[in-house]
Amino acid sequence: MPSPGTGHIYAVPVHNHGQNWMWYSKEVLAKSGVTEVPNNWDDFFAAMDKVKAAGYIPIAVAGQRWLEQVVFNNVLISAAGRDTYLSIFRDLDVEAVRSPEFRKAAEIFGRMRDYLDPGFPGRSWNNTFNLILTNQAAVQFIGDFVKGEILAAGQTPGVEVGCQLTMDGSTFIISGDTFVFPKIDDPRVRAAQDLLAKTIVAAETQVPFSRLKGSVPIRTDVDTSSLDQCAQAGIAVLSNPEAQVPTPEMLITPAMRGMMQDAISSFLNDSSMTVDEFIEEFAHAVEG
Amino acid sequence: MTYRSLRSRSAALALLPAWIAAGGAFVGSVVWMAQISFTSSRLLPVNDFIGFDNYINLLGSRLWQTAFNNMLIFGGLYISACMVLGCLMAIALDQKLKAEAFWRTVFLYPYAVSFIVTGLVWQWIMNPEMGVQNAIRDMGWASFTFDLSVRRSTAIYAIAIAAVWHGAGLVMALMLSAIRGIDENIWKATAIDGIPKWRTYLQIVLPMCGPALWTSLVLLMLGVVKLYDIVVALTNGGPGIASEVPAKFIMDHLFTRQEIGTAAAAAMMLLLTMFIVVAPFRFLAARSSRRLSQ
Repeated sequence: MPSPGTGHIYAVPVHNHGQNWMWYSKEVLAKSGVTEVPNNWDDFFAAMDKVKAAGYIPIAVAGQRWLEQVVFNNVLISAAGRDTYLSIFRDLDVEAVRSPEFRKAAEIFGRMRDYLDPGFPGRSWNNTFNLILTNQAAVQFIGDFVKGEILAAGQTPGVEVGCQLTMDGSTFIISGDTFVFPKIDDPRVRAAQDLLAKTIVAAETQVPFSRLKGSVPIRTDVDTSSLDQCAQAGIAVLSNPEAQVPTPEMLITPAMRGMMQDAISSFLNDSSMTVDEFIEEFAHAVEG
Repeated sequence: MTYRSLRSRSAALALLPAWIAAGGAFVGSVVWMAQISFTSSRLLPVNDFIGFDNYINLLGSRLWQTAFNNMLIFGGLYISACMVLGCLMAIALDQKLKAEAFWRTVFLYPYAVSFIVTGLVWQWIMNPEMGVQNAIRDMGWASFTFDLSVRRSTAIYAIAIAAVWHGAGLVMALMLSAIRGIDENIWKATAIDGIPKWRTYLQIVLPMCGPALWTSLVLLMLGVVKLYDIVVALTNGGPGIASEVPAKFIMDHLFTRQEIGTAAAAAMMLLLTMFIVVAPFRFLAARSSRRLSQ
């Protein structure tokens, strides 16, 4: 992005990944008697009860700390709302952590503990997503980078595996990778940096890359008709500025992130940990 | 210049690089770490002074308390199990078996495997869905459980099992060579006196292998403090933070969490703990050598 006034390029975003997707196995939901994909948390748990009764794994979680944090981010943005989310991560407002909205999100997250399978701690995300692809589990809350696994399994995003932005499709948590350019005086290096930037940003790069990577293009002026229905749904939501939410890592320090992950992972893995204890540990992390 | 002083001078010169390395790298690093631990450094070192704040925060941190406790639990289990199993395996191999070389290789082989591979393979073995538990349940034993690594209450024991599998062979190798070095006449004397074999081993032979026992103990203690890669590969400190260990705490805070002040304070606390543990042994060793030389 050129800095205003200098015309120099400092960094180039490569892609735009949505973090708050709910992926679901259509076959598992159908066989469990769930006729409509839930778009609110009450219907969600009702559906999960049916899935559990039918003998499938309701929620597939990859038990690694950054992925457990992704699940919590999913719950937080949809249950607590954008204002609370930004108060916590952008404004570092500790009182927002002790708010009723956050408590609601914490309770939903805690409730999920009854719908997990025993082998989830330590499991990688692709082994976990495989449970969705092979119709052993109903849902997984994870980013759209799983599309690589869908394509590798010979399936189409949105067809056998359904996708929905958690929970009612109204927000898009933005994350992604960026190339940052160090300031170098050598004009040949600068020319190379310009070329790299131009190549990454070009439409001919962005569209096919997005199709394979699972992300959405970083620019809004490209023809996205060749992308799958999940990407198109994401792009549609993203066009509304009120729906755009940055991932916490863009806002908080790595130390805070580590402490939040400790709290989230402890809470998810320990059924005896109460919502109050979780809220207090999370508040302590925000205090930094 | 006498021959003696020439020899000692060239010896001193030959040792100079080692002194520089030890002085600069080891002692210098420790001094620098100590200095950093009193600052508020995060990603890069800063030269302020915040007193003991890092240490106080550390003592109140649930993560550090868990990690430290885990090190004590792991240390006790790992050292005692490796010593006992290593000595037993060495005694077993001392019985002049026909396939001794084969068994020696089998028992020592785990030590050749890296900690990362050890951790990863044991993670697969102990996973309830992908590992041994599922395999045995499929064979018919429906209530068999072997999932220590995915439960909070047993995760550290899972790591101890993998680490003991890895380290017992080394103790066996050290003890076997020491036992083999015992004079044959001792055996003849105990045979004449009618002392049973197990008593001979326990009360005569093993105590005579003092240096080998001490070497094994030191190597095992180093392994306890260094415990990092096996934890990362087996459980990554999980479930939750149940199997966190101090070395992993320090690494995470040095790099991922960008908190080098906290990491330095944790490293200093670990160093202090080692001093407290080793000091009595050194004191006893110094006293017994002084008594011998009197």
